[in-house]
Amino acid sequence: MSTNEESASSQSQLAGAVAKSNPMRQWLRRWEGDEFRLAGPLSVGNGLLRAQGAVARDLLGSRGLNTYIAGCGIITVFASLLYGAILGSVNGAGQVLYAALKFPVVIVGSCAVCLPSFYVFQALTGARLTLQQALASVLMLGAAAGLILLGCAPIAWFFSVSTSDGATTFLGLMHAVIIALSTTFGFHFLARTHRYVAWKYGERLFDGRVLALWFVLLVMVGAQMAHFIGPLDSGRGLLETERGFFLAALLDT
Amino acid sequence: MSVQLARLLYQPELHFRFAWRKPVARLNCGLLAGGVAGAMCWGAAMGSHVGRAHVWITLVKMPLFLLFTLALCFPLMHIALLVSGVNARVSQTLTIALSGLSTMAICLGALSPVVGLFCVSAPIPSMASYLNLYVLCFCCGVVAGLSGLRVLSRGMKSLGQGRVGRALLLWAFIYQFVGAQMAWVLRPWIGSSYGVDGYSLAHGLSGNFYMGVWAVLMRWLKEMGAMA
Repeated sequence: MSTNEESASSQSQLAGAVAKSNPMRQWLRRWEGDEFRLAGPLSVGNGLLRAQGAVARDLLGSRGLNTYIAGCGIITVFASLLYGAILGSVNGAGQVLYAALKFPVVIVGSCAVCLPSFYVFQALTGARLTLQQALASVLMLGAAAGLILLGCAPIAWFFSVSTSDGATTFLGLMHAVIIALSTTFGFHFLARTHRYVAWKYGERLFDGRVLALWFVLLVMVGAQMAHFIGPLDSGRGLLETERGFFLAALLDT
Repeated sequence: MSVQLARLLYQPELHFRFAWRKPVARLNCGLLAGGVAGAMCWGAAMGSHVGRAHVWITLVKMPLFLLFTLALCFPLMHIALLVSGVNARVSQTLTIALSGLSTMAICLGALSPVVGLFCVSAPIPSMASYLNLYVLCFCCGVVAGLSGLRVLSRGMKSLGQGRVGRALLLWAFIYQFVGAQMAWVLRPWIGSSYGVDGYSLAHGLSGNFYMGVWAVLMRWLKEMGAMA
């Protein structure tokens, strides 16, 4: 074996050892091996769960973005509609329809309200992102969160029907944890996409700091919209809104 | 079916290697049957403390408890497996879940004669014996649960790469979280509100397991504070 070959072999062994010891490298390797063939809007959920690496590559290369946008939109609306109905079932059958209609408005509305800020601030900080990519990214966050909500829906339903009226604190806490977990999963997907693109192509699809700050903004907008529209307020009609700041309401309770 | 179950208990790796070679529908039916039989034995053993109709009621409730909990948890368990990097089809997830559950139920079934003996011979009505039986059942449940987790881990590993440890923890947490409330809904198990036979859904749907635990915890803390 020549000296060059020996050095290359030892370098690859070292790289392998580093990759094994570094957990981040493991998911990067997994994402690198992901393959996914986009076969229509309904297959997007499969890609978001099984082949996130392939979805990230499609997002960067703007491949099939319209299908991704349609698929993610459908998943987000359907998941929030179903989970909204479960949320409403806590306050009796009458609220099921109201909450089922209001909750998607809160989720999709928050995404829509925060999309311009996402695009503009990402562009300002030097990220290479088109408006279509920004829309797809925001909807991917919503869809990834929606998939977790769908997975939790049977469990949330079971607790809603099997818990008596005295345990509304528990139910509220459980729903809050589920919604927080699902939203965090969506953000986690975008953050990993950012790190994967930076690792693979050395390019910045997003700016990491702006992404984190924007996520805080999205959560605040979601909370304020939920307070304004009130999918859980049993005393409100379908189109009845309430002015006020969500943090004040939270402190009051 | 007995060959499948023996392979599951003795050589889980071989069980899963066979499982992935051909359609799993028949295998799943075998696992389900083995699990239901084990759960029924365990249910009957627990019900024997009160006796009479309670034996039959818990005999039916125990397999329902395991299967209803699995049905509610399955979508989230499948998602948890996928996001942990274990690339499984829905049928494969079902096979792994049923293998773990059947192992647990068979272990419980194997322990049911022991529990049955203690249940039959414990004095009734007696709060102390009731609590002792609960501790015994809990210990048996932990042993059986660990055996089930071992099979789950082998099943996940048999599918290739992925963060199996994380997926296993998520599965255990999800199943336990829902299972506790399901057990609350289907209560009573060992006792039967002395003098009242049968099962009442209205009673099962009253309250909530976690709120119940919280209330007991608060009462203990208050009593300890009063003692101090």
